Amino acid sequence: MIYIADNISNYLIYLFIIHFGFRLKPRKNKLFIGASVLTMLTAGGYNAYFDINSPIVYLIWSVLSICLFFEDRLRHLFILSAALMYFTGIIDTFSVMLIQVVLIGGGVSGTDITWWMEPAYLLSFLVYFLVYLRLFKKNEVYLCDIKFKYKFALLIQGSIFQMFYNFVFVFFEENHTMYGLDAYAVFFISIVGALYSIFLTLSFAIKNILSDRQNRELQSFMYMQKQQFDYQLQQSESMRRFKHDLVNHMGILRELANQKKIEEVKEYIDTIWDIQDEFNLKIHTGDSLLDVIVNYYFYLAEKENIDFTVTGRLARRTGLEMFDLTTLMGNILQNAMEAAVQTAIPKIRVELIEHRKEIFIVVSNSVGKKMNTPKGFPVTSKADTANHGYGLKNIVAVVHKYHGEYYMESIVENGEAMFQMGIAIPKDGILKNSIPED
Amino acid sequence: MRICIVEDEAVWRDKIRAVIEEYCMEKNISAHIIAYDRGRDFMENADVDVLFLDIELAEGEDGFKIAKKLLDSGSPCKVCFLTSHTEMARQGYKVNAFRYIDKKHLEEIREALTFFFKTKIQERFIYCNDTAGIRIQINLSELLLVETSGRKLRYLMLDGSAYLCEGRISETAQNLSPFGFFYVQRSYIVNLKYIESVNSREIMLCNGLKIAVGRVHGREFKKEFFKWRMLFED
Repeated sequence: MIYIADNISNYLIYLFIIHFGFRLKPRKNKLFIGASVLTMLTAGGYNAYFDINSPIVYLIWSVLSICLFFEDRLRHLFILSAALMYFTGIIDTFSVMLIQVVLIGGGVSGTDITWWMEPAYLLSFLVYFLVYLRLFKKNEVYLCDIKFKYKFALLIQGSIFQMFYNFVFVFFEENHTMYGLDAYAVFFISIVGALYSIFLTLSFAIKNILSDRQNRELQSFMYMQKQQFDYQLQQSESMRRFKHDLVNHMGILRELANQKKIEEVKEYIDTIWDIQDEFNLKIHTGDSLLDVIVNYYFYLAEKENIDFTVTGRLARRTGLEMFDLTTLMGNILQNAMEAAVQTAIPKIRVELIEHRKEIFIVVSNSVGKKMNTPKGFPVTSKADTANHGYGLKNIVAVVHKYHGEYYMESIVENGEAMFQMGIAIPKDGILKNSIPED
Repeated sequence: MRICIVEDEAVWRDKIRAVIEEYCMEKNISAHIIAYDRGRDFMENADVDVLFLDIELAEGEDGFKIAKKLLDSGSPCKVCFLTSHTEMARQGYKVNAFRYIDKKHLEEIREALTFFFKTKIQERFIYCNDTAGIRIQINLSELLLVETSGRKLRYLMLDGSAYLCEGRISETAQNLSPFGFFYVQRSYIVNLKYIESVNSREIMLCNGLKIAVGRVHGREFKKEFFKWRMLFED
């Protein structure tokens, strides 16, 4: 029975790490799940029947049951299960050593599985659970986000510790009478230290990822701000040139009026009127910050022959901080532009709706074909996937910051495939920051 | 459908009327359009569905004050302010303005009307047979929920009255879904307009009734509720 119990506890630990750490989903087909459980139990039964703890059997059932249980590429699952087996082996060694020192006060020889090892697995699980709560869930960074080099470093670090402690443990076993219990206390502390150092390495890797994310967000924000600033600068330059020429225009008008050429005067005024109209903001959203962003994308859309319409108007500023509004709307409109420009009839529609309690922003854009968004996130279509796909994550982060809601949907409108993103921001959280329009 | 324009300048009045008439003709909507140059004339007969109201009227009349009076009188009329000064729009927030139409962009009237008609989607009747075989007329905008009651369907209205009718809940859910109703779980179809609050597991209707949202419907419900919140003023 101990063999079966041992397999079950190991199996549950693997499932926990892969599902919560690597964010893999179980297979939808229940037959595979059943086959996975059956593999694990059969291996336990085999070991129990022959009363052996065969490493080959252990290797086969672990890899096979994981490959059967999770939905992913087979090669990835194979490597993942092998690496996981190795890593959990290291942590189990430490847990077993700790349990031996605490409960038994010395080493226990032999490689057979015994009942006192089960608390060691519980201890290992507590370590994983603590890592999950304190590092992964808290920072929203998971093992699947961590670069390969850090994961590899963790395995190497663990291996070195394991090798070292194996030697030390054997040494203490043989010289127990010479060193006494105080040496075991030091040993206990240093094993806990080894676990802590693995924890720190992981935490360092996570901090690196968070810092990379923040850098990317800032870079994206700076890029968008720079683009909008360049556009404003260009507008301002044209305006200066127009003002400079205004005296000349007045002179011509006076001359035409003196000559009583009323028709020519009207024509000239119309021309000047059209020129000055170019400098006016084409879209008034009710929020001057939003105006800058939306008018910039309107200008880009015009250049790319994209039909860009904005409907509705806000009664006051959204109250979102500049950084957040730029990140939110900049990313949404940037994504919409990139998708729309590739279509035969490119179009973008922005709808602004303000209710008493919420502000709604809905951006729809034409897309090449109807996208499947099973998890709610469309996957980036850009070749460089490593550095893309953060736009949507940044949008979602801003929406969550203001306790808002969002949805994404692929729709067919008048026979055309469209992608739609809707955002609702409650006024509760932002009203106190709201600055009235002047 | 009664649409009213209150605008002191005849040029703008005519232009606005022309845009509304063109829209109604295109969409085959029967509308009675009335135009006034003074707010006080309008207030004498304020029974309209949509009002296009100038903010700065002649003789010192203030559009916001007229809208405030209308709001205080309990009128369900939707007020669209007409203005050349977009910065004045923020005052409209206090009187629950439906839209702010920039006079330089009168095409915005079309969008306002389209949106208005969307909000009226529940203003229709459905018919079903009660247990005695009598045909019952049910006003969708007054219908709070539909629930199963044995092998029958119970239509619960906003005023607390209820009708027991024949029918299948899945079919009824399918028929009602384009009109702002959602099949939250196998026994209930609710009117999204009357949802008071939502948490991850259940919804509370305006009559205080709490209904659990089926796990399968959770994500879809969230999306649909979002879209309907956009349409209906809270």
